[in-house]
Amino acid sequence: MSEHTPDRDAGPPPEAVAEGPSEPSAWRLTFSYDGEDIRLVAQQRVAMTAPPDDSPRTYAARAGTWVEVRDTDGHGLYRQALADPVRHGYEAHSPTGASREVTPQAPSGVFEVVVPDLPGAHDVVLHRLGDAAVRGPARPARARARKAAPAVASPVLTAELGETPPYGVA
Amino acid sequence: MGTADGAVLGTTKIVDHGADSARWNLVVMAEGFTAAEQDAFHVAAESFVTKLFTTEPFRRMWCAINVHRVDVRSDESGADEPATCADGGTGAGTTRRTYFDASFCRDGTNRLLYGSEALAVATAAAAVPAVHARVVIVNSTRYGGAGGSAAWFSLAPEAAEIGVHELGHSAFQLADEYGDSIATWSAGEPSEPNVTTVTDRATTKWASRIAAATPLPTQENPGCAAMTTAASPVPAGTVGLFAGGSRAFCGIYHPQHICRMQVLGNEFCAVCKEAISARLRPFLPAFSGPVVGTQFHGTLTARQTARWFTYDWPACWHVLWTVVPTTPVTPTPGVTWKVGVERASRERTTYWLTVTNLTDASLELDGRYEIVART
Repeated sequence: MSEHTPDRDAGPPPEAVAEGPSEPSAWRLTFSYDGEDIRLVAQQRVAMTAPPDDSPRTYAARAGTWVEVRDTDGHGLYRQALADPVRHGYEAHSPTGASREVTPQAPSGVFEVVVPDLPGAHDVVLHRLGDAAVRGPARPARARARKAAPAVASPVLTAELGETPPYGVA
Repeated sequence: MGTADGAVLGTTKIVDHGADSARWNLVVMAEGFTAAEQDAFHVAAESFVTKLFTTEPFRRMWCAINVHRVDVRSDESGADEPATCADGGTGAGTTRRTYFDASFCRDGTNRLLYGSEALAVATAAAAVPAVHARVVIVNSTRYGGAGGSAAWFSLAPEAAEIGVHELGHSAFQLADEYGDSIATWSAGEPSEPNVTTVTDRATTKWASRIAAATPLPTQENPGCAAMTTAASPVPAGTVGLFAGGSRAFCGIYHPQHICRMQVLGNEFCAVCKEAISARLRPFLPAFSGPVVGTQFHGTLTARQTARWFTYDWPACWHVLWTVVPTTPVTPTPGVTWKVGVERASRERTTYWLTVTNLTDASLELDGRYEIVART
């Protein structure tokens, strides 16, 4: 017959297992908007991993917003799709699960985009395609007029990549 | 109201799957919790993390995720509650000195609850420079929340669903899968992965997931004035083209009859799950293994059985165990062992190795591990 002894403590595992070579670097881009006036207010290099490239579906899209990283020749290196970063509406949810959109009286806010720090990257471009009015009810007359966008991406903003002081709010 | 009405107290990594530089980082912040209420915030943050952990595909991709809790003290508890709201709703008629200045009745809608988005974005980045997404938990038992660069939600039952849905938008670029005020979509093929205008079976956005027998479009919204309440014409879980999305009733389609991006409280549909997974996949641990070593050394007398336990192993590691007699001459058949695995916590496992000496002589042994993967 075998003798069963008290449990024996074998301790915790070894130190963290090497994860493999990784020195990721990315750019954190902070945008602020007031109505349709969008500004790039800060850029920072951050040791982090950017989301994967969305080029295939942004090239296929005829509506949406995305950020593109370009080289000095204007060639696209990377794209990241964004989900309505300029808030034309908020969802009012309910405990029953149903939701509805609410249009803010004065859309304004901040959004951040993290893009990879790629060799040869020089500019960042914010694209917006499709008529913004399609995504919400008619805006007040005092809002800046905006024509229906053609079926070609219109850069909303182009900026050279480069570090700026971190964005903050007093 | 604002930063003069509180302070950031500190940051704790409450889900740790490795270096922030390599993982997808979620930041959870407190709003309307006083210094004495920080424990309550900790409970709420943990509850939200558990909710994510039990939601697919986050559970399957969990090893890609770090979660950081930012304790923020507000001078007063709760959020502003206007006495009356344009939509007819009512509130306590109170204002509260809180850090992010959260309020109900935003934009005339009583359940719309949010504070300073700019401050939330800046606070999260200052606390966790590698932040990818943010949520703010508001200390109120009234139902409310909102989306944007941060997802805001209260402590009310079911309000955490707002956080998960809004992360679907802000972090994973998912569109709403319902119509609201637009009769027919006219802006062209959208960039979001879970809505499409393309009805061609071969080229529609999730064509590979649509069975040949599934009719396309699968279900429309007759009259283009409301989402249909008709039952699904196909079995539950079938991927097809169901009308409604991005606030339009017609001309745009979503993948399944129901999804969390349409009605809160439901699972994400298959297309949304894959979109979230695709976003998180690059953040899964890279691994240059296998890694081998000896975890314990022991002695067993003749015919003895003993059990070793080793704890605090990351649940993301795939570990194989081998017990090898180290005594130079071992009568056959040697030793036998069984491995029990205890999920000690959400991120940690404990291994129990029961080893039996099958011989009539004492022997020494090593308990050896091989880490073969990290996922």
